[in-house]
Amino acid sequence: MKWSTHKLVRLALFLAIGVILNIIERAINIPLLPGMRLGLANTIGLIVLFFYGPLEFVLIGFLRVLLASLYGGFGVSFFISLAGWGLSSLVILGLYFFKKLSIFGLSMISAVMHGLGQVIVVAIIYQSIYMFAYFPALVVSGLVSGWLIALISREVLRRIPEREVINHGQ
Amino acid sequence: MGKFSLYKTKADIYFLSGLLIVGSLAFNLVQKARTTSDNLVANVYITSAQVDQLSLKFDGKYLYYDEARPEQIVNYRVEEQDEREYRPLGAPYGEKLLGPITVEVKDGKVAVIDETSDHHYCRIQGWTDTANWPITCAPNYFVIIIEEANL
Repeated sequence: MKWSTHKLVRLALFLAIGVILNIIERAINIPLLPGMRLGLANTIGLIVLFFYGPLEFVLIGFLRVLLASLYGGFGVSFFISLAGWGLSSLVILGLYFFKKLSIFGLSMISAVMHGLGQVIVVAIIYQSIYMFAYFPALVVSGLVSGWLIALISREVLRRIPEREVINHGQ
Repeated sequence: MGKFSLYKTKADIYFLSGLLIVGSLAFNLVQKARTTSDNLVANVYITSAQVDQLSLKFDGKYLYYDEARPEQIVNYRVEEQDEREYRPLGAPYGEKLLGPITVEVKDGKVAVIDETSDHHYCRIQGWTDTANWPITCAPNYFVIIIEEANL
């Protein structure tokens, strides 16, 4: 795996933005839907997947969860976010190789899978299958936030010239 | 690069509709597969262990608290018109509660009317008489589910 310095720096910057978005998000509580997040950091995932590819997407995503947990602590919440990230990344990569879905489909399904992964871990921790009663609410909020995130990512992607990210200095 | 479209495709619609249909079907089947009966009671669980059973036929208020921390309910006891029935929980269940939890049964419905938590999910959830639709008090490990009588 030989990456140019340019690529490493770009990826590090994307990672840094992702971690910061993650930390900012912790401060935003949606009063109507406790525990639910917008998933702003997922914009970085979509952008990295678009510009680079699956390997970079997984790497940046995992490092983001790890680094954000340095801020939030490696307790229960770490495993919850790891599971959410793991399941959503798995599904996203499958659909990415399927090559039929747009950024909207990818983002919305990713958000729903994120919620599903989290519910599964919470159900295991609390030893209660009934945690799934919360799942329908997560599906609805996941579809809404996934759509918003896709919209934001698309507008960012349209405004960054691809050569700026990929080919510069080569 | 850029192996996915930035604009919505037909496959998006099909996939999302499919996801919603399969998801809601699965959810409904799980709900229906569970029993429907006239003989319903409210079961109280700490984690997955049942600790109490409340009849829905009689109104009442029930105060659950940790046996080892009776000082937490001192304030409740001094209220003159406190009609709560006291339900101390011994080890290992009592210690799971962040604080006392009050459950009320009225007109065949059940609700958590007082508890200790950050977000008060279960208090916000309000009254329910739906079977198998749990009231979950996270992070208290406290769950109430209306079920067929089994105790």
